[in-house]
Order: sequence, then C-alpha cells, then structure tokens
Amino acid sequence: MKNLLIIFSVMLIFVSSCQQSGNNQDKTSGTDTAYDNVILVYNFYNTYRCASCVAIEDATKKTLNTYFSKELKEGKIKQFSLNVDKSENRKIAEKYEAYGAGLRITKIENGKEQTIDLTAEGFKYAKSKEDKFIEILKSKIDKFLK
Amino acid sequence: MKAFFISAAILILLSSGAEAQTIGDTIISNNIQNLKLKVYYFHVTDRCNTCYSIEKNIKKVLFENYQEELNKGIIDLYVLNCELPKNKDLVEKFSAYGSTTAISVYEYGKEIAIEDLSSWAFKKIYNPELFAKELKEKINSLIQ
Repeated sequence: MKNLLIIFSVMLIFVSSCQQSGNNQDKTSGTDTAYDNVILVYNFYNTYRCASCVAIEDATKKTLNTYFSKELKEGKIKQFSLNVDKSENRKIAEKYEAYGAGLRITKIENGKEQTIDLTAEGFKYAKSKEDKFIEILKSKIDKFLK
Repeated sequence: MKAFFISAAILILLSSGAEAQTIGDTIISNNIQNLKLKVYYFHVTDRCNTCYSIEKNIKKVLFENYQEELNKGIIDLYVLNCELPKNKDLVEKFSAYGSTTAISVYEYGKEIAIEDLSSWAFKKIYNPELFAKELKEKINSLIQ
C-alpha cells in the first residue's frame, strides 16, 4: 500500500510538471509565434507603474472594446498586458525590446510579421489627451485590418 | 557714490544677461544671436523610471559634452512639467501632453525647424550608450 502511494505520488508530480511546462510554452509562444492572420496588441509594463503607463493600457482596452469588439470576439485581434519584470515574459519582451512600459502592435499575415511601436504616442497623449491617442491607435489598427 | 552703485548694478545685470541662466532644471541663454538649439524634455508629475532615465541621459549628454555651448547660449535646455499651467503654451506648441523629447533649431535668432524625438528616445533609452551616441550625432549636425 505504501509503495502504491509512493508510485502514485511520483506519477502525480510527473503529470503536473508536464502540464506546467506545457502551460508555460503556451504562455510564451501563445503571445506570439503560435498565431497567424491576427493582430496582436501588447501593453508592456514594469511592476512599478506610473499614471501614464496605466493610462496607455486603459485607453488601449477602451479603443479595442469600443471599435474592435467584433474582431476581439472573432480572435482577429488579441490584446496582452505583460509585466516585463516577470521571467515568464522575458522572451517576448526581448523580442520587442520592451524593457519598460511600451505599446506594440503586430500584424501577422501568412507568417509574415509587421510591428509598429506606439510607446511615444502613448506617453504623449493617453493620460491627458485620451481622444487623440484613441484616434491614432484606431487608425493604425484600421490600416492593419485592411 | 550712489551713482556708482547704480552703474555697478546695471553692469552686473547686463553682464548676467549674456550668460546662461539656470532655473531649476532649465538652462536658458538669454542670447538669441548665439542660439542654435533648444532641447526640450517634457514630463508629467507622476513619472516612471523610463521618463526619469530619458531626462537623466539627455542631461548627461549635454553636461558632459556641451557645457561650453550651454554657457555661451548656443544650446538651451528646457526640462518642463507639462502639467503646470505656466508651461501650457509650450505644451501646445510641441503637443507635449505627456513625456516628450523635442528640439528646435535656430538660425540668426529665428526658429527654423522643430523635431520630435520622443519615439527615438523611448526606443533607445534602454541602451544608454547608443542613446548618447545618437543624441550627440544629432546635436553636432545641428550646431555646426
């Protein structure tokens, strides 16, 4: 009985560790190369966030929910908020050279990637001129959808 | 004697006008004929590390390489909180409603060009050496 319990415990640990590594893979690859024919919107941030950084994420979500809810539901647009200080996001942060707060929009079409960096626009407008920021972001996404 | 003191005071005032004035983080030349470049850094009140880092590295480049130009009024540096009402006009001019890096170029006392360097600054700030190198190249090309 004791042996059976030990074998069962070992099996349980093995299965759970396999599941965990599978999830991690999903997380890192899931925020990028696993997708095709999609627009990926990345809000990168540090653990310590300033008001502008929070405003960029809020305004990004507002833009997507207001103008692109259909595309979000259909999976044509995906939004990710990623803490670049977390080790699990290191790979994707390095790919986008996002070592602090940032906003990147990537279009993947037939395996070909095109990325625009809207970090500066975000910091300039999202907090004090949200409408202007939303207008810029919307027009960039509209162009990517065409 | 009184006339002497008044003359001395006027002389001091006039001579101080020829040198750069430092007001907080801002360095203004008061010498429009010498002026070739104004470097602007706008920030909000609640700032993140990236914003602090951009300001720190702009100052580092200017103080380590262009101290003479700052003293002579060839380069001015403006570090401004864009949320303060007193900076409203400049904020509108540069669309600097948040963290913004910009330069304006002067020739014979007139502003001839404006360039927004915000995207460049946010992109390069995580590599301070490259940030410094490219900013120096930019400044050198404009103050020649």
